[in-house]
Amino acid sequence: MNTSSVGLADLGGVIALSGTDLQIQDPADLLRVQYVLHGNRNRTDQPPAVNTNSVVSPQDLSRIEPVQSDSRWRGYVSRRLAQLRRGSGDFTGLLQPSEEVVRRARDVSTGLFRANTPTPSVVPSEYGDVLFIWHKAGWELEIEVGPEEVSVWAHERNSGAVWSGSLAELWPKVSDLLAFLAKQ
Amino acid sequence: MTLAPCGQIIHVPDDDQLWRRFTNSDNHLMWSDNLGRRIPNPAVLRFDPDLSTDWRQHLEAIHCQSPRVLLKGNPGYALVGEFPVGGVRLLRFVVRGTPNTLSSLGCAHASIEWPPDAIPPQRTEPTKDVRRKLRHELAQEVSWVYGDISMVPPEGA
Repeated sequence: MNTSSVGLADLGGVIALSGTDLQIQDPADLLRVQYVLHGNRNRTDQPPAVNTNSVVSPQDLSRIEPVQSDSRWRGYVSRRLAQLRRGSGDFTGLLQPSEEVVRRARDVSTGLFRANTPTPSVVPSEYGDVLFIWHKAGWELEIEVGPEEVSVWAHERNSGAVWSGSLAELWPKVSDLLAFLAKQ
Repeated sequence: MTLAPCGQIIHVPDDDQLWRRFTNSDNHLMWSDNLGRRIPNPAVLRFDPDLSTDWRQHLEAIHCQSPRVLLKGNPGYALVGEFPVGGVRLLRFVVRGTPNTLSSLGCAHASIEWPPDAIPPQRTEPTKDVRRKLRHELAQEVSWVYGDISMVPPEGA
């Protein structure tokens, strides 16, 4: 890669790069993203330019190119959460999640999902929750992020097994299931 | 095939199908890797108190209509999904012909109702977890009979 610095940064509300798309987004849209900054090619002795408080100015845009993130889900989930926060798309029969709920959903994704977690569907509920849903390997898994709680529901079709509860209580079980789904 | 004259309530056979219109939006659809296609977001299958559908065989045989008729005058909808009556009943839902006079084709109206044995005493609907399971199962019964729908999964799914 012909670049001088590669890093992970939380960008302060100016730009975000996800997958191979460059997007101008609002602060609530932002997840941790990978970026590549051209320039300073002689400074190979310097460590990667990682600054979690950095704000990239518009002038920097021409020097930044997106790279493929190693995360399976980040680009899609980031895009869908941004759409839900902006109220993009049709909400007939559904309710647009509040900014607070979208932020909580983002926190759940960054805290729970691993890089190889399969991409979930990201949809609103009729009550303004954000739903992360997987139908995969015979499982149906739904994480419901609401204004007051985050709940989990899982169903294994072959055995008929069902379990549900708060994500806080079921975190290890959900994490194990996501790890299993990542291998399918 | 048993055909019902308009307005007459008869049993909807297991071999028949029900149509329902859907919005072609990422908010209304989800990816099922189990099925290899998109299905409705279970949250859009709202029971109020039943789920409204239209009886395919009545629309086709009596009114010579195609699925497209469900979208007429409803620009927000671009898809028509089909439920197999037998499959829906296997999930224990009740399917009934419920013709009405609310629209010109209200004679084809049919209802999907919660399984009676899933409703706790003194309640009008199942508990939240049971509703969730039933709606996920019902969503997977839907096949698409009209509209352009992406068959490509979200990246990384």
